[in-house]
Amino acid sequence: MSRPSAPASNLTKPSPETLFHIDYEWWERSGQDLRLYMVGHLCERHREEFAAHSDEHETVVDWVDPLTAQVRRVDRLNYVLLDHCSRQPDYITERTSLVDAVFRTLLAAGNRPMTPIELAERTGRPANKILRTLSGRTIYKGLRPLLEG
Amino acid sequence: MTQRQTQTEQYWVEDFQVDQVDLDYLYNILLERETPLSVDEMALALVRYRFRCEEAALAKKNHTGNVYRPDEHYEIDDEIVFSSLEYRPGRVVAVRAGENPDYGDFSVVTVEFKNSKTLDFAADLKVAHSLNVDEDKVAAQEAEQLSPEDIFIEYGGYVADALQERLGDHADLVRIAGRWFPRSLLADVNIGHLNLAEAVLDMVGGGPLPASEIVEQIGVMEGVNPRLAEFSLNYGLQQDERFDEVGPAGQVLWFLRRMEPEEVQQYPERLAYTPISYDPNLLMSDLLELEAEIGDEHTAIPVKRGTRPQSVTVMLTYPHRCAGTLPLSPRLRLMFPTAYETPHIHFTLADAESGEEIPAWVVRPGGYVYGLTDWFAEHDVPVGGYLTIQRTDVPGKVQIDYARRKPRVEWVRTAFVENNHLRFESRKRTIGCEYDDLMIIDVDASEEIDALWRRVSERNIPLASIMEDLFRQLAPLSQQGHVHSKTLYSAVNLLKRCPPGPIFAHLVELPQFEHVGGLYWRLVRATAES
Repeated sequence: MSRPSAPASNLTKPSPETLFHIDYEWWERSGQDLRLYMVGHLCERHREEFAAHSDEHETVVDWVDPLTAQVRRVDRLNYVLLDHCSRQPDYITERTSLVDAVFRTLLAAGNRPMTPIELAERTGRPANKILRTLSGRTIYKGLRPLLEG
Repeated sequence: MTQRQTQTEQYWVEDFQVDQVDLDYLYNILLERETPLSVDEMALALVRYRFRCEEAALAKKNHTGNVYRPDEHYEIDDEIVFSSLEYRPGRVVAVRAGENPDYGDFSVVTVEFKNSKTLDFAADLKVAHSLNVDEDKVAAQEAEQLSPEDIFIEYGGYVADALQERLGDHADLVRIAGRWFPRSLLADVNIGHLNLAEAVLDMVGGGPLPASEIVEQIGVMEGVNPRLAEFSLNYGLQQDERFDEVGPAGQVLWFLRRMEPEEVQQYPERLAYTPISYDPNLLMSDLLELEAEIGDEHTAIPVKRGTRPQSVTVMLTYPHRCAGTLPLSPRLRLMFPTAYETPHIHFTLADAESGEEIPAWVVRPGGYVYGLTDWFAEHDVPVGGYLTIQRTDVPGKVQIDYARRKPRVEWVRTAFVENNHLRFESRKRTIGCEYDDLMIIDVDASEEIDALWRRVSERNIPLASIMEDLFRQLAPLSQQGHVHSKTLYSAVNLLKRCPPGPIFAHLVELPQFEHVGGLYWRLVRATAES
């Protein structure tokens, strides 16, 4: 599978303080199926539900951030992830790969950008390993530094 | 509710650092009050300052505007500040109905911030949210809050420690006896004042006098705040070699150095110990217990924390009997006044029976208390005699007594010099003091023993040889030829100053000594050296 690389102009060296997020535009450009990938992060019950009723995916609701009360318009799939699946104890385990663990962490926070240090606290993975993985030339699952402006 | 940082242990214990703003604040207090402050007084001032700063910051935040809550109702053009966005203000530019059956009826307000960015927030939200403040809970938390004084009681020690480190770096702050003041504000103390101070002290036998009394007697520095005048003179005296600060902790007392006893200025020869290295692991547990019981000032025994005893009993050893001193052992150290900085502390020893007051000195670097030469002689306290040191209710006054009893004639171990060797035999002597039978050594012709001690010192005779020679002399005093560890320690110290540790280690380690049970030893073979 070919992965699009970042434009050269955006290649500033990230640091432990650099904010990372899920770049949804990267997903659009890459041609990969984001929804299919996200279904893989649902809990077992919801994974079965979404497999049976795939047409319900398009329903959009308001999701209220539990910390800031900020409202985001999210589809049913995102909402279930935020409101239920991400709160399950096995959402991130030792067996979850580093990339998946970071992706799930950002998903659970409504894609609020985080530094490798914050991500390390939430995933239980070393910050330097997260930084090394996410700052290489290869972009994994759209996880990229947040470009200001 | 915003967590008050000053209410947390982490703030004062783990994260606390004294910054330049703190130092400037404390410096200004010293300038305003014109009064020297202790580090604890400054720590309390700093706790109060940090507490007030936090309150002011919180008050500012609470009055910056209408703090956003998800359960509140908002209209277009309402101004709101967001605690989750570091109290950034924004204006409601749109309101719509929220869409989510899980939350019930609620609104979504669009808020525009100064940078023209807009964000949506929930309003009229009926479900629980962490930003909805429970007013009763807030009031309860406010009521439970620690006051600055409570905080000082709880964490003041950490603040004082951190402060102490930084104050020393301040170029203009000087410290005397634990109090700090700006050097630039000190009243002028010139050579004339210092000469007058010397004359005042000379007239009272060298001292000790507090600076306040010296200021009163020299009659200068009028119109200066009395505490400032006292502190300034203290500082001036501290810079002049003629004066020695001899007050216990919390008191500043001055003495003329040239009028201090020689034994305070210089280590008494009889107490001088050249450390002998040995392996402490060689000492079995009962030898270690004996070492602690003897309480030699050169024995490093960790001080047990706890309440200070009302009285401590010790046995007199020959070097201290000669020097008129007491050892500043870990146990005895608790009984005498101490100081923050000064090496010499002047205090009063009082005879328990007569009440006679004896001027005495704690000499901290030497590890001894001086002033008992005449008292030992007057009461004829033997080597091995029991002394009791007792605290009194008067600061700077300590009571001393010996284990008095009706004098009676007894056979006691007596040391004398013959053919350049120390000999021992049992002789009759009148003794009016309870004593340790294993430590007691009466001395016949102390001048001859002193001369032998000097020769031993000059020739640097090894401890092992001295021990073997003394052992041979002591052994015939018992039927089995055995010598107790304590007796050997007492005898060795007639000829060479040595704590029990090296002596006991030699007993264990050297082949010529054999352990025969209890703390007794016998000499199994003499070496050629001895």
